[in-house]
Amino acid sequence: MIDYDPFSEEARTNALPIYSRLRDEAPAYYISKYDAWALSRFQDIWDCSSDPRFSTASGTTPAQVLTKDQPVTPMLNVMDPPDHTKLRAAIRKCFLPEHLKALEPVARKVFSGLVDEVFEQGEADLVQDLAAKLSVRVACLAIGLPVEDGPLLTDLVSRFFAHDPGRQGMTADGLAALQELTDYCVEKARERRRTPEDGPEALDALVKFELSGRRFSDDEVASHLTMLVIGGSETFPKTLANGIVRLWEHKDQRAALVADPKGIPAAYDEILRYDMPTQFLCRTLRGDIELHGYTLRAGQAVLLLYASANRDEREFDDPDRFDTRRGAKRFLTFGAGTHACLGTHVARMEGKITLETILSRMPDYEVDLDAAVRLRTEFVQGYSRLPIRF
Amino acid sequence: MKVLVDCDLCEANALCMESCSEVFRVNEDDTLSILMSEIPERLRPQVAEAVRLCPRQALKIEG
Repeated sequence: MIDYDPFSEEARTNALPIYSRLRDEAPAYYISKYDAWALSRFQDIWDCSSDPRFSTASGTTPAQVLTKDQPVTPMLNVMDPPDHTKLRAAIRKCFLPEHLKALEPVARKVFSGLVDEVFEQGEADLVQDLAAKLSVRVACLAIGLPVEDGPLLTDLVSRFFAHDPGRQGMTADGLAALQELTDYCVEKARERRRTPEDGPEALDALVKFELSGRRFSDDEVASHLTMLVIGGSETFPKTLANGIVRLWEHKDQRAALVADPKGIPAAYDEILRYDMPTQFLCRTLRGDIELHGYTLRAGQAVLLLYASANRDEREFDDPDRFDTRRGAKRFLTFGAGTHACLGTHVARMEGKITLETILSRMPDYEVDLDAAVRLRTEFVQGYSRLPIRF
Repeated sequence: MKVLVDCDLCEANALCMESCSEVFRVNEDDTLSILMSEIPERLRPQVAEAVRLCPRQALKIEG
């Protein structure tokens, strides 16, 4: 019998073995404590990603759907089609390749500047000194927030994700940080409404957007903005840190990329597949479905174990091998279908420019794993500090 | 055989173009053009692969 609880010590610190058992022995696994089903196989998760019976209207995070201590406020990701489709189409321009063509050189310059700041000292924290500072600034540029507010936003988002080892779900300080972030976004929404701009940034699109003839209130705009700030700043540093560790562990593959940087985009895809920070997101069923001999009933929660799907041997050959030349064309790090990550192109652009810069300026970097700090929650796992020397 | 694209979903991931550039073209402005209204049977495997890979699940084969 498998005993899987996403909040258990095992699932938070060494989840891959239990994911493997779930895929083989219980691909639809019922967790009575939360009246929830866990799906762990690639194809199942892929297939339900556009299925309208899998709703996000009751939330997507474990703190919204399982422990229910995070409120569900209006955000793009907790809307279902058709409203979701309309809003997404209205705000996505700033995250798509055409707009990013102008953003990429800016991001590259920002990242070079961050590397300049630490270069002489020969050591840095990859997460806090480099990656987090880049991603929050890029998020601000894309969304339309002042870049100089980056440090404030980084701090709020990292408090939001903090985990209290003795307790499930969100911390009181995490909820307070979410409120502070919301208050900040309300202020920015008000300012933008007073002096509207005609840019492609998400903030402009949000203050102008009309759904059934009604504009969003400042609180609604703010709630949508918080999701974009959190999504835009939090996961990239953890993904890059994982990649920096994997390339350091596989020095032959690192050397090959130093010699031929054209392989970097494909290598970044493998980094994305291999260690994704977000373990799962949730859905709530709107209708009954039959899966693997069980009936999953309307009203029950479903966990989509993306981190398991990315290691599914039914989809990937030798999935536990890290191979920067694998060339996998699909994986579930960004989800898929209706709610596939809006920041996919931004994340890939950031991965490309940061790896190009790091591998050209510090090709022989060393990682101090003993001094690294890992965030290990049921929801997001990855390095919050990663000291490197170069 | 025809291929249908849901333009509300398509976000220029361009995997379809990688699978079959004879049928799919992602334009500079992030829109997708389907280059043939009637697709010859010989291209079915590549078009099916494009449908399978699309991360937004925006493509469908008809016929």
